[in-house]
Amino acid sequence: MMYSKVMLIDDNDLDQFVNSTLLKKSGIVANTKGFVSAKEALDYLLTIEDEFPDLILLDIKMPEMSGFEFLDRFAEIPDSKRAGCRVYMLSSSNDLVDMQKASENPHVCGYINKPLDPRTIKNILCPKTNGK
Amino acid sequence: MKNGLLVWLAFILLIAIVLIDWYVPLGTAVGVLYLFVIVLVSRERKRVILLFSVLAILLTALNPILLATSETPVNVYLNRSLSIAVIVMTSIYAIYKSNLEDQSEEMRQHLDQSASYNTAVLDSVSAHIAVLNEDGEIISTNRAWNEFGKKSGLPDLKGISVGTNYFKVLKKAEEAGDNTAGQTLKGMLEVKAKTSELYEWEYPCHRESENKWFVMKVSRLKGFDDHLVAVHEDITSRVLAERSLQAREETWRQMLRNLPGYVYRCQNDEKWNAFFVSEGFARVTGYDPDNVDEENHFPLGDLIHRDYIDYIWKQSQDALNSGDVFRLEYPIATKTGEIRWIWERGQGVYSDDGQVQYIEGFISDITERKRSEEYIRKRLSMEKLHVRVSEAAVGYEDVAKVLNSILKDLGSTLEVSRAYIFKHNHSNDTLDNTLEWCADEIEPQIQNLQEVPASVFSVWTKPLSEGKIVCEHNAANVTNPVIKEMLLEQEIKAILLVPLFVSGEFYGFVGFEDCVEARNWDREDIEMLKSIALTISNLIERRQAEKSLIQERARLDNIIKSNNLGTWEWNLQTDEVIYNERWAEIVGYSPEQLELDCINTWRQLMHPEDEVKSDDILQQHIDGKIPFYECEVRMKHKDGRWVWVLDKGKIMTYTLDGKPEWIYGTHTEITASKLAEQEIKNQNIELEKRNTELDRFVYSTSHDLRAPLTSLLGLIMIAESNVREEDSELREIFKMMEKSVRRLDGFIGDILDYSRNIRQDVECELIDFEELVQEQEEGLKHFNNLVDHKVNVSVKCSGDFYSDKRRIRVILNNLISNAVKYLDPDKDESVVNVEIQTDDQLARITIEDNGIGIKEEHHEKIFDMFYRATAVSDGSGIGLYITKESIEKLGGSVHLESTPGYGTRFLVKLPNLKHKYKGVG
Repeated sequence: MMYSKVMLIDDNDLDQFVNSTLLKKSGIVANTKGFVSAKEALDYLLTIEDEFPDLILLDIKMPEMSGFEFLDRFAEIPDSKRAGCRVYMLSSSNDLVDMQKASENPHVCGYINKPLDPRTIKNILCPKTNGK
Repeated sequence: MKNGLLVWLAFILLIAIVLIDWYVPLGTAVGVLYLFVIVLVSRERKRVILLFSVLAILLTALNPILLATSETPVNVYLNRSLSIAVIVMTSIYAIYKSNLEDQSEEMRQHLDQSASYNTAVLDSVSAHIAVLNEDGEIISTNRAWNEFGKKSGLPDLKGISVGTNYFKVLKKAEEAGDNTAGQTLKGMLEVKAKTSELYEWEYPCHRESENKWFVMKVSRLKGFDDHLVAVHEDITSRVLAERSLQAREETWRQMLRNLPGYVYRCQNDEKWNAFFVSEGFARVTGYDPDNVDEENHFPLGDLIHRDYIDYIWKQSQDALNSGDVFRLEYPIATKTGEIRWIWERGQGVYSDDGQVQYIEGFISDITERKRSEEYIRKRLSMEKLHVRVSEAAVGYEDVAKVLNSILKDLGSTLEVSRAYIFKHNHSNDTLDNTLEWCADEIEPQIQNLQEVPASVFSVWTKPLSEGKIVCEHNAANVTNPVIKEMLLEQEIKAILLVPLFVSGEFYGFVGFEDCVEARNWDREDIEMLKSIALTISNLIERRQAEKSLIQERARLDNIIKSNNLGTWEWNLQTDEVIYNERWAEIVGYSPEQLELDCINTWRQLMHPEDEVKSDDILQQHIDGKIPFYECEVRMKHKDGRWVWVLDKGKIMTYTLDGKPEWIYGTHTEITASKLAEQEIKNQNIELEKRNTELDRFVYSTSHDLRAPLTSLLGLIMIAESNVREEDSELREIFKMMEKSVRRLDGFIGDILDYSRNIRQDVECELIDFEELVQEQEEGLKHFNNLVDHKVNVSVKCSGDFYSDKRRIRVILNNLISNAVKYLDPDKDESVVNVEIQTDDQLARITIEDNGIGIKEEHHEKIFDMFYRATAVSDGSGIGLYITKESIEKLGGSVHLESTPGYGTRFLVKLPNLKHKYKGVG
């Protein structure tokens, strides 16, 4: 298992289901925990002491708190706590502005255009050289 | 004393003899003896004594005779008495005399002393003195004589001293050829012979070391008439003094002779009768100065020019009365009647009571100077004329008026009959007399001399057009018969023509005629006229230039007016400014309402914000950073609104030390266009906003459209993975579902690309074609049901290639995916060749396949929007349209070659946009 604990943040529970299923099927993920609200996800991250997720797949367009707003707050979490956690944006947006923004954010490891398919999982989330 | 005693003894003896009456012979003997004694003792008055003594002897001798003849004692006694008386008287006299001599004895001693004194005196006299006796023997000399003989060192002289016979010496010298000696001898003998009282002979005696002069004076010795006194004296110093005096006198005489005039002395009467004039008189007046002396007076006043007599009389009398020197210049008539100018300086010589005794003065001939003055005066008047001409030429008066005044000036100064200007018409080769000036009583000719064919005057116009002057001093002497006839025909005696050249071309000539008499055109006059002709040429040239300048100015004015340009001129050094009327009109003022010569007018009307900007731009122009000053500024209109003005200017002149001086510029009112521009700007902003909104709309729409699609795709994938291996039908259905969804997704992507291409500007960056092609190969893997194929990629890059990466990606994506999509499944081997070559100029992208090909009828249409050429296609029909649009946006071109059944070849050319790259590394 490459990732022991994966957090999925997407307001679309259908996508959550799809992504969670695909990840589990790919065999690189043990547990996934889904949040339909970025705020809830953030609150969760702020409350937990250990068992911090090592992978977060983050949608952009979400009500109440967007993916980028989440990232701003995420930056406030102490480094020590979130070290080893990789964040990928996962969106159906083709908007260049979003892509640009994502690539400029230091906490984002990559931008994945939906749908998340087995090839993408293999290529992006499981690079041969494990780590960035 | 001695003599007296002797006389007394002789007297006593005689008395004794007489008394004893001893013997007559004895008595006679005694008487003779007595006589002898007397004579011995007394040299003076010897005649008297001798007479008495002879008488006494006679008486004594007669005594016996008397005695013999008459025996009378009376006789005897008488005789005796007589004898005794005589003897007594003689004796008394002798005694007296003797006493006298005794008395003189002391005197004689004194005299002896005196003689030695005199000798000393003579010895101390520098003159050489010798006394000669009657034979010429030197009997006495003074010391100077002796020393001269010794000092002279001459053997001849050495021996000449006391005892020498000087006559013989001289004779000998004369025979030896010494003329001086001969003269001296002659003179001496004359003096000796008493034919002359004094012989005096001065002679030079020059030796190697020095020149000496001597004088020999010979006279008879006083009291010793047979003796001669020779006085020889060195008179060198005297002679030299005399000589220098003579020389000085000679010099003075010479000076007087050489004076450029003469010295005179005359009476102060009405004729100024001269009683002395120096030699120069002859040269000045032609009269002989030797005929003028105290007796023969010369009336100087008769020489004076009649017109000047009164003036000179008054001037001289005034000066004499006040004791001043008078200086006068006036003409005189010489003996030959020639008029000469003289300069006189005279002053009075006054008697003790202040009356003028006579006048002394000096008169100098200044005729030459007067001529020079006359000449200079003439030159000066010519120079002044030249100056006047030059002054007239730089004025702003009408050119004809100026030239007329110049002609008049020239004509009257040169004293010619006619002065004129001819203009040559190049078009028909004729001459026009354009301007003419005539002296009094000279008939104008200008009317007769219009459009005269130049050929008539060709003898003159030819040399004139070659820049030569024409100059005839005397028509009668002209050798060329053509010219001579022409001159005589017009009654011209002398003519001078000077050519005029304007802008290097023959313009015509200025001419002068003398119809009265022949004249010698002065060389200097000709030179001056040449120079004046040059001035006239310049004047005409300048006026022509001015004329064209005025025309040009009028044209410029028209341009300025027709363009409604406000103009301004500003001296940056003095802040002197000039605005035109339009300048004021732009801001709503009439010219009278504004100070159109004040820089502050501009500053006060300008918007304060723009003033800073304007000053900044102007400074940049002054510093040479920008070639023009150009600035859009707002100015306050009279009615309070702001007027937009395009202010342009350029520094046109610089001061001598290189500072910018005059800047000239224009004001164009651009309020309307400025407002329109503002309007456009606002519209642009609005449009921009709408575009952005549209962008947002497209993105969010595409997102919202894609979101369910992607979810669906995910679900299909999950479903598919759950299908059992053997249930192939269901698996196929899922595949079709996925394909369909992906097609829709691709369509949304195309629309997004299209939208981006239309609105987004070209962004240049370095293109890595290999990476881009590789990216496309990766992308192709999404297509599941593709024909097996091989993609050959060849990228040859020469140098960096710049373009818009996104658009190239769209182009490659469409063309490569099309090539792959439309491969021919029936072919054994399907190949796609991607070949890219780049250089400095462009990139050639060739994408070639051996697919199904495109029918020719579709070639033109496949790039249209939503056009689909084949039923095989499952595309949206927008891909090639976007491709073409993108290529065009990048300034490139696309070319299609395709044969159905064989394959298709797209050739894309894209320019290298290196020059547009404003890269950041």
